[in-house]
Formats: sequence, C-alpha cells, structure tokens
Amino acid sequence: MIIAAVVCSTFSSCKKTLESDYLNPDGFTTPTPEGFYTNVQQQLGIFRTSYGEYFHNFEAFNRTLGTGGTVNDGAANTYGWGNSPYGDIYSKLRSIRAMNDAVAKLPADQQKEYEVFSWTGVVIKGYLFYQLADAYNDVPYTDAMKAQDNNFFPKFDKQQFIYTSILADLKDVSGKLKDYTLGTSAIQQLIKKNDIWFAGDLIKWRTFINSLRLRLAMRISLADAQLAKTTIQEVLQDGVYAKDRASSITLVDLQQDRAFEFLINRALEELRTRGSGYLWLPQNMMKVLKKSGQPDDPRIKVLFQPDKNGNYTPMPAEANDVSVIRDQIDQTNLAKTFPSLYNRTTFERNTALPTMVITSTEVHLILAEAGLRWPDLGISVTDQLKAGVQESIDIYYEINNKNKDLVYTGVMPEAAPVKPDQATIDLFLAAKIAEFNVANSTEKLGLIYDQRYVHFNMLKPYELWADTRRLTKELGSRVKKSASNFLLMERTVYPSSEESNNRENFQAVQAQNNYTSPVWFTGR
Amino acid sequence: MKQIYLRCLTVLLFSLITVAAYAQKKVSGTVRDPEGQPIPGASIFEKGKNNGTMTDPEGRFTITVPETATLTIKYLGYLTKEVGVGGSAVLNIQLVADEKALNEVVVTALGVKKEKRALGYSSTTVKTSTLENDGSPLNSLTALYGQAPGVRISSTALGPAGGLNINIRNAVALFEGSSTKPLFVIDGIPMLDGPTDINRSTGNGLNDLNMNDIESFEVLKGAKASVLYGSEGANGVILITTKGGGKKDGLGIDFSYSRSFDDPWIMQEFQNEFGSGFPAPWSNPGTVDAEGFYLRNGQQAYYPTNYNFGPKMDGREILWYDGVKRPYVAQKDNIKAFYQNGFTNNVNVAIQGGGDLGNFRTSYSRNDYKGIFQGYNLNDNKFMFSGDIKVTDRVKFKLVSTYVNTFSHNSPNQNQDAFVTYGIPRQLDVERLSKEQIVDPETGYFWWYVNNRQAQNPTGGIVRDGLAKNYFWNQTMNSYDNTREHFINSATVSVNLAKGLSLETLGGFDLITNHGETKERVTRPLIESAGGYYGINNNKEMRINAQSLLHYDKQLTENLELNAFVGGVIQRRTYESVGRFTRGGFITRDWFSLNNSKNDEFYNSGDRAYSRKLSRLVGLLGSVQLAYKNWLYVELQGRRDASSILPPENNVYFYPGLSTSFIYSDAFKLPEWVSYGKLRASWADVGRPGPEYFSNVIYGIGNYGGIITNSPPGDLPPINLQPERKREFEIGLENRFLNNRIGFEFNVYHASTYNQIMGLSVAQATGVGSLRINAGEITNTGFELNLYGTPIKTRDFSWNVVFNASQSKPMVKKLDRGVEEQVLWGAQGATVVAHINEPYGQIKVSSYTKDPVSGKRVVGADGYYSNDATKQDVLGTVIPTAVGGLNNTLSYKGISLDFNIDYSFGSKMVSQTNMYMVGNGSAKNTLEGRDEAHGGLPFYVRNDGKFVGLPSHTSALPADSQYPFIMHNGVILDGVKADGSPNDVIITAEDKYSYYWRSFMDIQPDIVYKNDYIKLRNITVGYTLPNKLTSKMKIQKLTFSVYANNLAYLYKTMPNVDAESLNGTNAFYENNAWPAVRSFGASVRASF
Repeated sequence: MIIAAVVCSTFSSCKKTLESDYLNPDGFTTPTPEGFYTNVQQQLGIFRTSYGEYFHNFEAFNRTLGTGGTVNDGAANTYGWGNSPYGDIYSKLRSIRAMNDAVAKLPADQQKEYEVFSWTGVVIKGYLFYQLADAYNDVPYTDAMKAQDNNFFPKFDKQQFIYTSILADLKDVSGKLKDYTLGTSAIQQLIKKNDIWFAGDLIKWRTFINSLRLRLAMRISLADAQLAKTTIQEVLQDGVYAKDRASSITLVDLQQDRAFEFLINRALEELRTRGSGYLWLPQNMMKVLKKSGQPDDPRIKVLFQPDKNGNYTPMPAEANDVSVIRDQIDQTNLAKTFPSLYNRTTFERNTALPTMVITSTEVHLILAEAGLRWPDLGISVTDQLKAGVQESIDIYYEINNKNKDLVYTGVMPEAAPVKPDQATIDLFLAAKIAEFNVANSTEKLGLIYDQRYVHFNMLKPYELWADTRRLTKELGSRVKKSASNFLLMERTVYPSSEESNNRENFQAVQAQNNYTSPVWFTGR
Repeated sequence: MKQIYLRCLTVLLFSLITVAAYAQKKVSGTVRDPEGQPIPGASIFEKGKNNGTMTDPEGRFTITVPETATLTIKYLGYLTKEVGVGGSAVLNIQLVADEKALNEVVVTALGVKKEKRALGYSSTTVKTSTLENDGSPLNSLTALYGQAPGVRISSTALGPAGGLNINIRNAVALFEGSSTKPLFVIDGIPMLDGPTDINRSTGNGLNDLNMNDIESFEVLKGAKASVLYGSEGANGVILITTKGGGKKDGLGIDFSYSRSFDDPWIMQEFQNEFGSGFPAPWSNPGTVDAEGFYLRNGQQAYYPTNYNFGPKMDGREILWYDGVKRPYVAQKDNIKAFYQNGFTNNVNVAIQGGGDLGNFRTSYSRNDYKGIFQGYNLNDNKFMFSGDIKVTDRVKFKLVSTYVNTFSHNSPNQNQDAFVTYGIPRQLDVERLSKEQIVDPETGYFWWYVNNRQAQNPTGGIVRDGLAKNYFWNQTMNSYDNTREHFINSATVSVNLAKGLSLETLGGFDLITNHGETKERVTRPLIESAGGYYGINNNKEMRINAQSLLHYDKQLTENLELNAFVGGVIQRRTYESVGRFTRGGFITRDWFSLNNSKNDEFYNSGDRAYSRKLSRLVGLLGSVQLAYKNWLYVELQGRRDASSILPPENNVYFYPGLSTSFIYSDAFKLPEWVSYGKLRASWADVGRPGPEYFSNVIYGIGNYGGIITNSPPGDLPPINLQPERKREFEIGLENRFLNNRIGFEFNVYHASTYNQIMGLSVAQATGVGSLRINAGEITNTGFELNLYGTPIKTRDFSWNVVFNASQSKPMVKKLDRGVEEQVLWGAQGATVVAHINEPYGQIKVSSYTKDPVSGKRVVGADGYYSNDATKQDVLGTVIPTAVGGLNNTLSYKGISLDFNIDYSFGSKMVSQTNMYMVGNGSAKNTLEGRDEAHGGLPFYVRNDGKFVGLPSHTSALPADSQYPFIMHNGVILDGVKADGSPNDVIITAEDKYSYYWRSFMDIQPDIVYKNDYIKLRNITVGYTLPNKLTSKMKIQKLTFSVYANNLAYLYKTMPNVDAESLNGTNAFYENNAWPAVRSFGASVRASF
C-alpha cells in the first residue's frame, strides 16, 4: 500500500513534467488572422521575387523564350522545369485558408471587422490560381484547400471555369472596395500595418485588381473573346487601373540586405556563373532593340552592358554561330565580357530592383492589343503603344538609377548610363509608331508582342510564356525568339503524388498530362 | 525500505509466500558446481514435503528438517541430487552437469538473465566467439548477416562505413517518420540510433561498436520478448552484452591486428563501341556529319554531351574539348578511375583480470579506413572499461564505460546527375580529367573556371560541373569533416536484500556529439563571383536511462517455483543541434573562418541553424513467472508507460504480455534420441507514442519588415492522438536430437500493427500534404527456422553447420478517411505503396499500352510504345519474403574454415542506374540496331521530318532528304499498331533506348528488377598454433587468419548494380551506381 502511495505521488508529479514537455518549446501556438494575412503577402514568388523559382525559370525559359543568350551547343533542350508551381501555390494558399478559419472562430461582430482581409484574400487567391491554371490547364479549384472540411479528393476544374470564376471574384471585390471606407476600430486599422503590399490603401487595391482583370481578359481573348471584351470595357469604365508610373504595381523588397539569399539577385548571380550562362544578351532581343533605319532603343543600355570592346554584342542564337565565336567568349573580367551580359547594375547587383507586378507598360500594351482586336472599344492603339514603350524606358532607367552598389569591383560605369533627353526618346518613339502604322494587322500584333518581349525580358517569364503560347495561334513562328533547337513547353506536368493520392479525379486530366498539350486559353 | 518493497510485492504478487517450518534440526551447507564454484539460487527441498529453501549468492543454505529427511537439490543444467541428512549438520554438495539438458542462460528484456528453457518466446543468441576470426569489421553489426532467423540486414551503397539497415520480422511502417529498426540495448542502456542516407553520411552510433568488445548479441524478436521495453520494443530488441573481466591464465592480455584491402567492385557492364553524341536525326542538319561526328570549327570534334549515342569509336583523331587532337577510343575502365583501392586497419588490445574482490577488463581499439572514393578516409579510437567489485557480501557494483571518437573526412555525396542520370562519355579519359583538369596549376582555382575554359572547351556540363567539380574538386580540395564522440556508460548496483530478494538498480546514458566542419575553397577569383564556404554544425544527442528492479525468487513447493520482479524505468532523451556558416561567400580567399563571411550571418528558421528535442518516459513494470517441475513455465508481464510525447489526456498506456514454455521432453518419457523438446506460446500487445512533437499543433512565426507573420502547419494536425499498438501471437517448437548433435527451432507468428501514428498522404490540392492521425493496420504472419547440427565430429575434425530461414509477407489491412493507398515512396511515375488488402510495399508503375487481343505492346503513330496511365502494373514488393543464411565451421586440429552464406528472396528493387544506363546509351545492351553491323535498318529523313525506310544501306540519297546522307540506325519496335496490325514505323535505335527521356524519365515496368540473391558473405581460414609451441613463446593462444568479406554472389538477379546498393537505411530504391566494396585481409590474434 505504501509503495502504491509512493508510486502514485511520484507519478502525479511526473505527469506534470511530462505534460510540460509535450509541446515543442520552439513551436508557436497563438497565431492571429492578420499574422496569416501578412504571411500570405510576404511569401516569396508572389510579389517578392524568389531565388529558387528564378533559378529554375532562367534555365527553363530563357532558352525557350529567347530571353537569355546561352552558349548553344546544338543539343535540344528537354522540357524539364526544376520549379513545380503546383505544390508551391497550394501551399501559398494555405495561409489564406488559415486566416479565414481563424476569423470564423471569432464572434460575429469581429468577423465583420476582418472583411477587408477576407476580400483582399480572395484577390490574392485569384492572383495565385490563374498562374497555377496557366501552367497546368485544369487544376482543382472549387474543391481545393478543403482538407479541414474532410474533402481529401478534390476534382479538377477546367481552366475556363477557373478564369471565369476568378474574373467574377475580382469584379465582385473591386465593386465592394469601391464603396468601402476603413473604420477606425483597432481591427480595421490593422490592415494599414499588416497589408505590406498597399498599406491598406484601397485605391491601390482596386488599381491592382482592375489591372489584373485586364491581364486576365487579354489572356482569354482567343478562348472567350466575349468575356475578355466585356471585362476590358468594365475596367475602362471604372477608370482605376495602372495607367502611369505612379499607379503601376511595383514592390521594393523590405529585406534588401538578404537579396543574395532569397531574391532574384542570387539567381542571377548563380546562373551567370554557369558555363551555358542563360544571361548573355540574346541575339533575337537585340534584333528588336536595334533595327536598321531606326534609332537604337534607349533600353539597350539599361537592359544590357557593353562588352570588352565597348559594344553591345549579342550571343548568337544558333549553335553554328556560337561555334564561330566560341574562342572569344570571355567573362574573366565581368567589366569586360564578350559578348554582352544583362546589365548587372540594373539587375544582378541591384538589391533595390522592384518587383514589377503589373506595370503601366503592360496595361498599355494590353489596351493597344484590345484596341486592335475590338476597334469599337475606341482605344487609340498607337497612343497606348507609345505610352507603353515610353513608360518602359522610364522605369528601366529609374531602376538602373536605383542601384547604389558602387563598391562592387565588377561594376562598370557604362552600365549606369545617363537617360537620353526626351527629344531623343521622342525620335525613337516616332520611329516605332511609324513602323507600327505601316505594318499589317498580324504584324501589328507581332510588334506589340515584341514590346512585351523586351519589357518582360527575363524578369517576367510567366507573362511572356503565356503571351507566347496565346499568340502562337495567330502569329506562329513570329513569336519564336529562341534558337531553332529549343522547344517551347506548352504546359508542365502534375506532380506524381497528385496522381497517386487522387487517382480517380486525376483520370479526368491524365490525357493532357504532358508538356505538349496547349492549354485552354491558347485557343488551340 | 526492505519492508516497503516487501509490502509492495505482497500487494502486487498476491501473497504467494507460505513457508512451512518444523523446528527439528538445522542443517547448513554449500552447493557447488563441478569446478567448485558456488551455485546461487539452487533449490533445496525436503523430499515429499513442502519445506524448502534456496542458496544465497555464495551458494550457501540453511534448512531445518528431521534427521530422517532426504534433501532434494535442484538447479537447472545439473542433474537433480538427493542427499540423506542423517546426523550431518553441514552438507557440502557438488552437482553434476546434465549433459542432456544443455541449458543456456540468456539475457532477456531489461537485462534479466533467464534459462532459455523458461522462455515462452523466441530469442536468438549470437556469440561473437564464433565470428572472431573474420577480421574486425568496420561495422560490428555486419557480423549478424545470416546469423539469426527473421533478422534482415542490408547495407547501404556507402558500404562498411555507412549505416546498416537491420530489420526484425519484416517490421514495416506506414509513415517514414516511424522507425522500423529494432531497439539496440548495450549493457542495459538503450542506444541512440537513427536513419542514415548516402549523402556524406558519417554513419551513426551503431558504427561505434567494437566487435572485439562484444560478448554476444541477443535478438528478441516478438512483442512478448520485448514487452518490457514497451514503447520501444515494437520492432524487436537486440541486446548487446560486452565482455566482462575475469581471471585468465597468463598475463590476461589479448591483442589482435587485422588489415584488409578494400577493392571497388564495379558491377556495371558498359558498351565500348560508341562514344558521346547524338544520332544525326536528333540534331539539325549541319550539326553532325554523315559519320555522326559533331563539327566544331569545321572539324570532327568531341561531342559535348554525356549521352553515348555518338559515332563509333574507331580511333581516328578528333578535336578534343580542350582544343587538342586525340584518338577517339573507348576508355574501358574510365568508371574505375573514379575510385581508388582502400583499406581497413585495426589494432585491438585488451587486458583483463579478476579475483575474489572483483573483475575488470579494459580495451583499446583503433581503426584506420581509407574508402574507395577519392579523398574519403575515416579513423576511430575506441576505449572501454568494464569492472565489477564486491562492495560487501551483499552488495555488488558494476561499471561499464566506453568512449569512442570517430573522425570522418569526405564521405562522398551521391552526385546522381553525374554518376547515374546523364552518363559518362565512354571516351572520357577520367584519369586525365582528374590529373590535369581539376586544379589550375598557376592559380589554384578550378581549372575550368580559369581563362574562360568553361565556355571555350565544349565538354558538357556534367563532365565539367558534375564530375570535375562536384566529385574530384569537392573530394580532393574541399573538406567535409565530422568528428563524433560517443560515450556509453552504465553503472549497476545489485543488493541482496534477503534470501530470494534482491534489488538491482542501473543507471547510465548514451551520449553522442558530432562536430561537423565544411570547408569549400574558392573556385574562381572573388571578383568574378561569390565563392568559398565555411560552416560548422554541432549536435548533441543524449539518452539517459535509469531502471530499478526488485526481484523475488521463491521455491514455493517442491515442484513450484516463483520468479518475480517489479520495477520502474525513467528515460530522458534530448537532442540539440546548432549550425553556423558563412553567407554569400568569402571576403578573402580560402580563410576558413566564420569571420570571413561576406554577408552577415542571419538567424535561419530552417533546421540547419538550431533545433532541439526533449522527451521523457516513465514506466512501471512487473513480471511473474511460475515454474512447475522445471518443465512448465507460465509468465505474465505488464508495463505501464507515461510519455511526454502524447497529448496529456492520452499519455499513459498499458501493455500486457503472457507466455508459456512446456519442456515436453522432461514431462514425458521420450525415446533416448530425443535430447530436448520444447513447445512455447506467447502473446503481447505493446504500444508506442510516435515521434516527438508529432501531435503538437504549432504555427510558424516570422517577421517581415517589422510585421509579425504566422504560417499554418503544412499538414492537418491530429485530434486526440493515441499510442500506436502492436499485438503479436507466437508459437514455437524447439527440439534437439541425438545427444544434441542436431536440433531446430521453429516459430510461427502473427502480428498486427494497428492505430499507427502516421502522416497519411493526401493530394496537395487539399491544402495539406498529409493528415496526422492514428490510422492503418498491417498484419504479418510468418515463420522462422533455425536448423543446426554437427554432421561430423571426430577427435580432430568437426563440422558445424547452422541454417537460418524466415519468411513473411506484411499485409495492409486498413488505412483511413477513404484513403485506400498510402504512397511510401514515389519518383518519376513509380510509387511504392501500401494499398488496402495488398502486400505492403508494392511497386506500381504505369503499364505499357497493350493490345487487348494479342496482348502485345501497342506502338503509336510515332513508332514508340506508350504508357497507359489508367492502368498500373503491380510489379512486386520491396520487402523480401524470405531471408536467411547458412553458416559453416570446419575445424581440423588447429585449422578452422568458416564460410557464411546469406540470401534474400522475394523483393524487387527500382534500379534507376539500370534505367539511365540504357537511357543514356552506356549499357552493354544498347548496341543492337545502332549501325549496319549491329542490325540497324537503312532509312532517310524526308523534308517533312518523316523517317522513310530504304531497301539497302547502299541506297542512293533520295532527293527529298533533309540530310545530305542516309541513316543506318533504324529499328522497328516489336509490337502492333493501334489497329492491331504489325508495327512498321521506323525510329532510331537511340530513341528506342532513350525512351525514358521521352516520358521525362518516367520509370518503366521493365526497370523494376527482381532482387534475389545468394551471397558468399565471407570466408575465413584460421590457424591456431599448438599449445606446446605457444607456451614456449609465453603465449596462451596465437591465431593467424586470412579472410575475405563481401566476396561473391552465388546467385543474383539484379543486373549492373549490387543487390545491397540501397540509397539509405530507410530507402527502397537505388540511383547511385556506386561500386560495392570487396575486401581481403589477414589478422593475427594473440593472448598473453
């Protein structure tokens, strides 16, 4: 009996120790809805650039979109893309779900206070989902993110359905925010701090949402022309979208000191040092930037840096041409390479390089194309084109000028040029418009595409990839800027875990599970 | 205190004590064995009465009986003796050993020694004395290959310096976080042990055991055998007992030295006819000439790719990647040039002694190992002390202490891209590469990064980065060092409280610290790019264990004996890891210091920087065994654990075990030729709490721009997690015949592991990767056979043979939440799964599309086979169904010959090495169809890209040919077209072999191989010099031996790679293409 008593008392004191050791001391247990919200926004690869993603994107897209010159040895590329947006995007969405679940546990009055968080959460969700659908075509959307509801077998939704739903959501939220004013309660004021994108500025949000609507509308211009046109009309009527530098959606990272750890800068540095590089000035882009009979594009000097001879020499696209200059290829001294590299002052060494989420240039080019496709919209195509190119010149000079890294020994003064005066730029713009005006309607689309090619360059591969796939239907090889031995990927493949864990639903999409089936929005 | 324990026993063991006493005559005495040593615990009974006693630890007894009484003296392993009291007041009794009984005392759970006959469950003892001539293996546990039925051992591709996968009764789990390894207990202390892979692995704590210090391994297989280990015994237990001291003749010094030479054993078979490159139709016209040569500056040149689909190597001079002209010939041994011959050197010295007060033994061992990989070496120092002392007549103290330090330098990493996936050009002169093109002689930088050689020498990224840099440079210029210090200590105090009552208390710990240091040199001037890396990583893992057992042994009646104990166990396990490293490269070249970090160091929320774990466990346990006439034993055991790992509401759990042993050869009169017969049965239900913090619901926390961020877990947290359970029933039969010359042990068992704590994988689109739940049930029915005998035994010659066999197939019975299949591993279209109502570990791969009528493969319009994603082929399981071994010892006078064979049957392995060897054209079996001489068909490529067959290899070039020559490498795949007609579409032979690339490296049904083997594990020839000779040399014993380990496959189904080339201790596949290690050695052992 005594030992039983001793054992019992020992056991109960032990039990307390055991209970206190149950939780991981490094585990945090009291999250907040706004903490999840900020987490969604700060995840790399949404607004912040992601080292890992770009590292793989350069390898996959710089060759096949012709946005980066490589030491082409004649071998065809495989379609492999080291990045898998699938798991990545669903995991990014996880914090939105967690935020909504956390809000749902609050009393009803507090839930109402969090509604701006929820509405803008819907926008972020749409922003992620269209990218997912672009890469895969059909993906789980309606049933997605429902593990908490015991739905473990999500069905795959068609890309068309996803686009339609996102556009409806964006329209809905844009409308809600239009008539909304932030209250003064502590919760409502939280968004000013926790919204690291726009600091709770609802006009900025609406600018982003409506600009995104324009982007998505143009994406479906061939697959669902009616919805595309209606959406553009609605946004034009609303009038709030990225139309100049001030309203462009860009984000300067708050952790520039860690740029060479997390951000695009690290990817640029690492990819450059590879033998095949991917970041030489590509010959086909040079062809757009420097046309005979026209002034040189002012962006040449901020997008690229001169070679050891002081020239802007591109890396040839085709293997045979590379072979001819192979012995001269030189990057021993980064201030004197041969051929030219992407401008390291603008990009690689520039930790202040903003993420160009949606720029006014992109919107102007969308509107220019919309004006061509639907003249009844009453858009001045040449005005839009001209503004697009002008603002692209502006922003790249601005970015180049932001780099304060003057201590790095590899930097060359010529890579930080003085912006040409407006008269010089105007001459160039006039030549571009003259070229455009004499082109036939297909070539006009091609010329708009060329401006996207230059403006997006290697910085925005997803948008350029989407536009290239879309315009292939009408423009064919006009939009092929890569060497002849590089193949264009139409989509990427689902992770094999999806097949094994969701077999029945997967049956619906397995026929398209390859790199060669065009996605719905391409209209092919 | 004694009173407390006595009361406690009274409560817990039902007042079983009744002692009759009749005050008549007091008789005392001593019971001794034939050598005169006292026998403790012998029972003395008055014949025909319920009056008895037992001898104390000194063999003494006192009993009061009538003068007319006869005393019956019994002790296991000895013949029962009857002695009349008569007028004697003192009786000194000597027992005679019972040759027929051959009783063994074995160590059971918690170190409790028992006679093997009393065990109601299976337990196998492996004595190292039978293995001591096999050299001193770098990993002592390799000695267990084939030695115990039901124990499966497989090494990883890293060979002897890497981890070993040890598994008892095909223990499996549905969750990779669950260990399937048994618990290792050394001298009462549970050892630290974790999974290892093959990426710069430095092994784990088990690698530190010194074979020369081990007395025996005790393998406890079933749930009942390990029930007293409760939480950790579910996968079985291997008890390791180290050698203790004792008085020996002579100086008491043992010395041994062994050295073995370790050779890379390459099993890959390569083709040596075609070099790197692509067939012409893979390249744009103009890239390749009519002979298939890549043209560089107008000259036939080295094709800068690794695929061996280039032109035939005919010795002509071509332009090499470095601009020099060299003959284009095969380098047949270029794979071997990646490796070197290694060695293992072992010196061991031990001294021991003893006397009335106590005994001791101390030893030192040193290993020097040079691995087969460039730059890889390892050395260790092992110290051990074991001593016991008699503190008083009633109190004994024992201390076992070991200290091991192991230094590992440049254990290789896997380097799959270079060694496996993309292949190595057959014409690549690896020796030249390693000698001339790694370090630039002028600057000391990486050769390829100096003078723009990387851009100007078109060699392909794999040769440059994969081989030259990631292998040769890393292995020879950089340092990946680890120093492990390992302490295992245990102290035991045994107190003889009263007659039959003793208390044994043990305390100790296992402590491992690792200090990792990485030094990567700058490969090019820092002005060009960031470079250099220095990092340190320290971790410390400790497991403290204390247990106390109160034993009570009582002869209840003449025929009924009680052995009982109760006790408690306390355990605490901690782990802590801290890492620091430079970021963004070095400030100045090759100064290996954290102060040389270009960027400031930041706290990293990842595991690399800091992690810690703590868990505690408190257990109470009890065991009661009743023995009737020493031929019927019944044992009931139970343990109640409380663990910090489980949620507070479920953290206390109980598990019981019951067993019985019936020695029917003693109960019944059997023919003389039956020496021993035993039937036993056991049942137990054990539980365990899963990994630390597994059921915690925790969130990530961060800070971006001064704002707090929270992130949810990536899986769905559990609600109310319970301990997982394993229930096992086992029956066994043990028989010996013909005066113990032959015998067998046979077990049949059925186990069910249920309520498994696991992460159940679900589709990523659900928003989580897995659900953390109790789910699933796996059953496993199997048998084990241990057959042994001495077929020949003469005065000078004997032959002992042991055959071990076991068979089982774990079946998946349940999962949860509608999920019918849990993916255990997956890669490139293949999965290893646990599917409901199917055997565990099935390999599934998409089927080839087949014609429903003929069953032949369907060939598409493009001429290729395709996979039917709607159908999956189940190609077998990763778990072998039958493993075992055959061990032989032949002795003639002083000469002995040992050879051990082990086997494994029934499993399959995904071998990506085989797949890629075909896919990149390196394999010997990729020659057919490549040219006219190898049966290739003539064709040409039309302007529209279509391949059109030609009547002859000398046909004229058609006008609409895209290329200025015709092709000779056409093949037509065996199969039918979609309409069922025979296939007639021409493709290139190279496309046929490289079809994996068409499906983006998807694993195909034909590269899942049967992995059966019979291996000659080792041969040892030893010679012990005759005593008359050694005594003149003042040597007690002197043995010379030569041995060979990992010698040969007598049967093997796996082509090109070793059957034991797994990628880690928890892996089901291989993709490393590493050679195995075969060693030949010699040793000398001397006792002074």
